[in-house]
Amino acid sequence: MKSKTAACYQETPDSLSQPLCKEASMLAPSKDSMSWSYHQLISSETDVGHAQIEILMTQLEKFGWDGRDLFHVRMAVEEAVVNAIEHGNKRDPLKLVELDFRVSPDLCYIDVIDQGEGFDPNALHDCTDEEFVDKPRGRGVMLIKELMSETMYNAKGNQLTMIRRRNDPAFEIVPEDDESDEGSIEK
Amino acid sequence: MSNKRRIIVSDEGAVCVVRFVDKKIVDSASIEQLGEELNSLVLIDKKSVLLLNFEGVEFMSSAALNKMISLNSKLKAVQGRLKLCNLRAEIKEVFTITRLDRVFDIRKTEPDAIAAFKL
Repeated sequence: MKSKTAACYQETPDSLSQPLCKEASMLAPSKDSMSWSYHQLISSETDVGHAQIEILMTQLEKFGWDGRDLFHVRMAVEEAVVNAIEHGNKRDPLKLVELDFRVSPDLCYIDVIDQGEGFDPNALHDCTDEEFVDKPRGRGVMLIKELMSETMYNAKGNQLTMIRRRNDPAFEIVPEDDESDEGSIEK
Repeated sequence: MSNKRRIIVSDEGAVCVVRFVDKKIVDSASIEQLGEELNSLVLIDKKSVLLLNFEGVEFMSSAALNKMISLNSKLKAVQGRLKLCNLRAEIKEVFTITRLDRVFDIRKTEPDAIAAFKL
């Protein structure tokens, strides 16, 4: 998979991104401060994207990430990369996705950039509204926001920068309501 | 019953119990196939009481969630019934965040779910 990826980019630029906007640049840790950093341009194929995600997951596990922290990052990066490939680049074989991963024992930084038209994440309908909750679309962007410590899109909407802090207090487990698990509403 | 590659199907009395072949349900082609196989249970095999048992499933993307939403819609159209069970805590959390826990009837274990059908 990796050789396939490399073969695609011999004549591509080093980076698709414009300089980060001020807000996003504040999220970005310097590479020196991180224990592992990784940069790759990939083709608009989900199997190539999944191979990159596995590389990130392996590094996170090496740095001791596990449980909900690891699951949340996997979910967010899965949604981000698939969105970039399918909705951003629309699987166009001439378009690339740029990935920038930086990992330390306490922080995971992810940047995903596509070459699509971009979108306004604030213009998406709320998939939890009664009108949309049983419709099969629109959950990826919401999950990314809910499962990461910080998320930011550039103005065009084709670049997503996100950070997850390990053991972030914002993700402390709320005691489960046993009643809610009993499926009181007969479907 | 038609051949299935992404799911394992068994009948527990009147309940059609579905288990998943993949531990991580992320591959786009596999998810498309999963959706077709789930829908075929309703449309071809004429199953109307389904239990999705998530035992062994470690991860699933929102694309896989969408297939289950579509399955739910197809079952509703034939007055069928659907329950889910054995979701690992992190996957259950995804259902909660997206409020899909209001759409699906989620039970802890397979016996709990089968009993809840009250057949």
